[in-house]
Amino acid sequence: MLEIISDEQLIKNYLKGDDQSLEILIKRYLRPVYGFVCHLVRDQAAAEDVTQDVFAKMWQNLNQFKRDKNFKPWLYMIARNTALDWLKKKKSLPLSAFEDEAGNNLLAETLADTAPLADEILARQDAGELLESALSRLPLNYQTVLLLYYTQQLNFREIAELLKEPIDTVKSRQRRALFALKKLLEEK
Amino acid sequence: MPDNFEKLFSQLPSPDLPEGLFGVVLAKIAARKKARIKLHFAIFALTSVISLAALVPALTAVSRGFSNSGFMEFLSLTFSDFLIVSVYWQNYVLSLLEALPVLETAIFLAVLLSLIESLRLTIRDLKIFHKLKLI
Repeated sequence: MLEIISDEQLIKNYLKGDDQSLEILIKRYLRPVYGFVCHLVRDQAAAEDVTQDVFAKMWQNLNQFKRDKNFKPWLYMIARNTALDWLKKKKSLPLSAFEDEAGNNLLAETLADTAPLADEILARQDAGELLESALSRLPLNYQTVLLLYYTQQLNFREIAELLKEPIDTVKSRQRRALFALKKLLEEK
Repeated sequence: MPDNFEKLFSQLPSPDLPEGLFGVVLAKIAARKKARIKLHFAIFALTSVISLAALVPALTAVSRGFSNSGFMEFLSLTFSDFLIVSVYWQNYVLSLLEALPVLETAIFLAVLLSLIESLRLTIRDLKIFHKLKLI
């Protein structure tokens, strides 16, 4: 049942008065959205609050959701913005290992590494934790692109749509993010 | 860059979903829904009361307008002298239109429509609110 009906159809049904469709929609996205938010805010209790807000905002704005658009990028846009708002409120927007205090990226322009990720990193027992720690040192916009692309399986077009940026910008940001991530992983 | 990052990202620990989060999310939405319904109910109920209060002067104005303009006298010709009316129907219709108190009628209809619509929405919100209370 969860997989058969499309998101857009569920929204249509909900707006026609079927409350169960909203529950199915929330059930479908609760875990991935919570995971995404958790990685951004790095605080499980806060992630719970932010996730609640994400779905409450989603509900509040369902009437304005354009039916010809994809629901998934729209929902992740809300999740990203809500997480950013929380980080701003906490004044804990992470300063990345590659940014100076003025927010200039010191690394992006100097990177020209095209080698694949070393196998020993992939083979490490603690690869997951290593990745998590390296991710946390990246600028937030790099983290967002990587998390959306690799953990939420959004494609470049969808990420560009939710970030309201050209697709080429997103592609090059993903590339730069990977270079930066690789550099951090190799430092460990 | 060759993309063996997919393999790496598959090892990223995914946080456990807190127990009861689904229920908490639904409860939060229900609370916002209630707040929204309450606000709408207050707005529509107030509009209904204002429309109802405005209906009396609007009705007085429209009836005064009809009696002052002589519209009813013109209209009564339809029943008393139908033959003459049917011969000179074009002039008759024009006179009727000229005698119609347009402004008063428009105000009255607007107030009436506003009353009907706000009452309809008030009742709708009451039903939803009642349903939400039962959940």
